[in-house]
Amino acid sequence: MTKYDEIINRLKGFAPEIRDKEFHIQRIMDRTMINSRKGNSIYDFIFGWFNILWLRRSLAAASVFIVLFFVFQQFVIVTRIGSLEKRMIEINTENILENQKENVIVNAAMFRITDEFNFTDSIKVAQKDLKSLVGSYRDLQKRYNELQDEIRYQKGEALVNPGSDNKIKL
Amino acid sequence: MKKKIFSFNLILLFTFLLSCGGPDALVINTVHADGSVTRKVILTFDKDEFDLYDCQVPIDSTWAIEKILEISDEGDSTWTLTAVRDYANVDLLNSDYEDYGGSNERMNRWVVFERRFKWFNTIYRFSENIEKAINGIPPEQYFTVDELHLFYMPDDLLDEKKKGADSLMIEELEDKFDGWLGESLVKATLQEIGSVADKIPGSEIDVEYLNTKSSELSNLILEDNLNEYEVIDSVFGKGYYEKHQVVIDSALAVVEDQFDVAGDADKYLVQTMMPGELLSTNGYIDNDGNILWKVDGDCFLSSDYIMWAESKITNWWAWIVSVLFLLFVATGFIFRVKKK
Amino acid sequence: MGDRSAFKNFAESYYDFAYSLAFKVLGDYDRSNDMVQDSFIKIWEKRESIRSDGSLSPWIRKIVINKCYDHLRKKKRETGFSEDSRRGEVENLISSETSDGKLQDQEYSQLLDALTSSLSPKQKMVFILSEIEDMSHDEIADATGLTKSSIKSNLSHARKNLRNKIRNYLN
Repeated sequence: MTKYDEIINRLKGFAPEIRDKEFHIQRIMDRTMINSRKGNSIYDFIFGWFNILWLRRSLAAASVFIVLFFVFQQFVIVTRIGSLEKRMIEINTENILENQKENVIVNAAMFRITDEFNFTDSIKVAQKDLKSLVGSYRDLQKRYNELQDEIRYQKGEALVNPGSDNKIKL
Repeated sequence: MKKKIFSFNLILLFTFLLSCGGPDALVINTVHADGSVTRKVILTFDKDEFDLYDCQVPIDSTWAIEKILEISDEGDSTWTLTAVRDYANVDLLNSDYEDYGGSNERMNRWVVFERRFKWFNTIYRFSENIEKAINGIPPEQYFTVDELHLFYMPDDLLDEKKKGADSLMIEELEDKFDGWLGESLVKATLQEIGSVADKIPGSEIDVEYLNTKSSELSNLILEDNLNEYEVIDSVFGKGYYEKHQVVIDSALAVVEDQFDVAGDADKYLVQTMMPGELLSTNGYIDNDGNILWKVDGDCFLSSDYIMWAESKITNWWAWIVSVLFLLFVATGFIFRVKKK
Repeated sequence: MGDRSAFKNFAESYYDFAYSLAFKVLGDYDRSNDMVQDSFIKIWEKRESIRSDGSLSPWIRKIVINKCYDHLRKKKRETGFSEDSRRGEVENLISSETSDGKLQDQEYSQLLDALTSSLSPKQKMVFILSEIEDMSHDEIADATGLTKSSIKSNLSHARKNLRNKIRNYLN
């Protein structure tokens, strides 16, 4: 073994003495605290807690849940609205009120008819047929009146346009 | 029982005929997102004789009232009275129903409003409810789905349907109607007999045996030449009625009284407008989102009548918050990946 | 706090290993502690990218070696070793017949300084890692970023230099 090898072996066999280990480790921990307080950038300030594993996973889970919940809710709503649209029918409140007025007049007419009824010589009339008959009669009467007014208007005899309703508001 | 059906129909007929006995009513509920309800009642009549306290729904002099007279070319007068009131919440409306003493006094009615916050949307539900009159057969258990659609349809819309392809179904429905009515009355009566019999010690009435004969009773009840006592004897044997007269008469009196709640009902129409976008309803709807129901004795005879509608309002602030949150999370993850 | 207490446990586990390596390269108590502390601070800053599959020793070794290497390069520019100081002590250490006696810290420091004072930082680093730490050329390349040919070349120069030095001291 040469002197070189001998010296190398002595150097290899060396193990340094560890002194004040706790002190040095505490210094390390103190320096980590200082570094933490520094705040490297705006990123660390805003997104620093993304480094915390459980928080990161919770945020990801919450995001997935929000997206799934949104998709599910919208699907349910779209389905409900779709089935609703299939049931839509043409109704109009104005028409209902007009029909109600029609009923009032028809029923008044019927009441007049039954008032004059001779019970000893009666006939059976279906209520719906009578209503239809009176309604048709009214329509016919209305058209006839309009035609008459039109003729008079053309001739210059009438001052008012045909077909105008007389409405009095109280 | 047969007389009961006839008189019920007659009552319906005269109720319809004698709008001379009362005006037609259209009740419009405008539901607001905060739970308040603006109720508008439109009454039409051929005379200026509106008795507010006898109206189909509660109205009084505290409402904002307006009257219009229209005279047609033939000289027919039509009076229209419009009454409006704002209810801060449905409890006030229910309170009016409780204090109501008009023509539909015996109808047990109430309204319900619900609001459910579901983050992206808020769901609103409004319903007008009427308690059933008798323990008969619910229409849902007797008629088909298509028939039910016509069963609950307001008369004006039904008249339009009669001119079209559904006229045959409407005729079949009208034929089926008497059967439903008869069976409902029989069922309610037999149930009441059983209930009365349970309370009387020593009663020999076998309720299960009675129920086995319900279809026979329903068929016979429609016969013109028999009254209910004769019907009972012909099904259960001569002398059966006399033997159990006390129980049967008590039960019949109860059912008759219950039946009158529906029979005497003064019909009207209900229209509801919901806040936001309409989601679903069991009413009849048009393109503007107006929903219409009829209210008459048929509707709540054998089952609770619930006129409900649901709508939604989008919570845009929740959408924005959610998008910002998702962007924030995505950005955080992107930065993290880049930093690695 | 969870992270910090785990890191403290980690530092206590690997401090001896890191300090031993740093002292063998630098031969100085204060500087070695400084380099080890700097190394652990760097580990703390990069703690999220730590993959805990397998031993962390190679990874820690790499960081400590790089820190020491940077220090050697800066120190070379600043100071030079005077062979004349403490020559007598070094001669005793080199010519000593008791090869099985353990060196003390100061003895190791003096001997290392004496033998490697004329080496470049690169030669010194390669020599210490190869001859004293018994690292393979692959491991040295991975830890220092040097190419294998560069390692061979620098090691050859270092050995030659050391043999001459030893001969001079003995003569």
